[in-house]
Amino acid sequence: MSDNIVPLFGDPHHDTQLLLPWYACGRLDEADKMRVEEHLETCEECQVELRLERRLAAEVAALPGAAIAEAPAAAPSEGRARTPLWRAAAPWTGWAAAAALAIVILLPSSPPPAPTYHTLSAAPPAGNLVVIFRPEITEQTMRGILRASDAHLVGGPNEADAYVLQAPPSRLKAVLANLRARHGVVLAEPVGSP
Amino acid sequence: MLGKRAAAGGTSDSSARKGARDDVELVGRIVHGDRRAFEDLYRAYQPRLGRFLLSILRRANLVEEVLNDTMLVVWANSDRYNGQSKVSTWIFAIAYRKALKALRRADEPLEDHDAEKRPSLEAGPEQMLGRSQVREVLVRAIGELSPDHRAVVDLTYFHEFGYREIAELMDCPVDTVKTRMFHARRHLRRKLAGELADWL
Repeated sequence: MSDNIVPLFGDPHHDTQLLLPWYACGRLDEADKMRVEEHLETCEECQVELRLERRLAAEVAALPGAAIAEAPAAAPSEGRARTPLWRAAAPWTGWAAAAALAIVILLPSSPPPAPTYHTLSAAPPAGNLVVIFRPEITEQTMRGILRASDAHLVGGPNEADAYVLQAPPSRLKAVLANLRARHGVVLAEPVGSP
Repeated sequence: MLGKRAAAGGTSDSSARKGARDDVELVGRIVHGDRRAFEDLYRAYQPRLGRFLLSILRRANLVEEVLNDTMLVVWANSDRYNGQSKVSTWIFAIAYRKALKALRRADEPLEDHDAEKRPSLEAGPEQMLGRSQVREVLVRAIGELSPDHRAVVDLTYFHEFGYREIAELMDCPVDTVKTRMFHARRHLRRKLAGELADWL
């Protein structure tokens, strides 16, 4: 479908036709609105167009999110290929981004959104902290960090290559401090606390 | 900008303005690393962004990734929000750019030049469609639009953005937005030809 610009030439009828969607949903500024209403008073064709426009807008807006995704069929499991953590060139922009990532990953999905799609992963596995390792570290280094941390792996990696760990609740602060002190750890955050 | 939430919740213009002020306040707190503010902003935008991204991407498996990428940018670059546009316009613009990149990665065509020629379910002038068929025809017809046209349709009909806001977030002239909407409406109505008489 082309984006060829429809010529306007200051034609009130044509201008009105172009602006009707935003007039119908009350999103025109006063000047545009006055121009459209002035033309609508005398143009039966545009009055009909407005009725159709309102109905079309309502029908489209009422389509559930799941319906929008129905067609055309896409191959399953496409998108960014999963790369093992220690080989990934993750585009880290520093601690702030990593922290945001962890928040995004771990936000519980309640209250649940109305649409049938959901953007947060399923409920995170039981655990009390999340860790993101530096992408360049080896698997051996990662194992060493885990063994020394007094925490064990209970989930991950997820879409953002974050891992969920379980540490003894009484030692959670110490475990977090230990992990944060490691060069190979980008982020270590408790789960569920602000 | 509250979109159909307003219809569902009876939200007024004044509460929409309050929502916009709240958004600005949240971004101001995020600049200082306030994680709770980020969570609040995330929760406020997740349903709307999800719907918008789904309308462009049409693949639920890509929506989550792009939405999270979008919110990461919001977190990492919150200090770049200059207050000249609404927070919603700023965030949707990030989401739109991320969605186009995701489509390119997935080798999804950004324009559908064959849409006009493709046979479809549309009814003839004398044929009335049932309720579910109307939805089916609409879904098919929207799917035949390019991602850019789908974005304009969704931003206008569902999210109730003005055409100037849409031009800003899509980084294109306002006349391009009007024209995209004009062509998209024409396409949808052509597919619904038999139903239109009943709508009057």
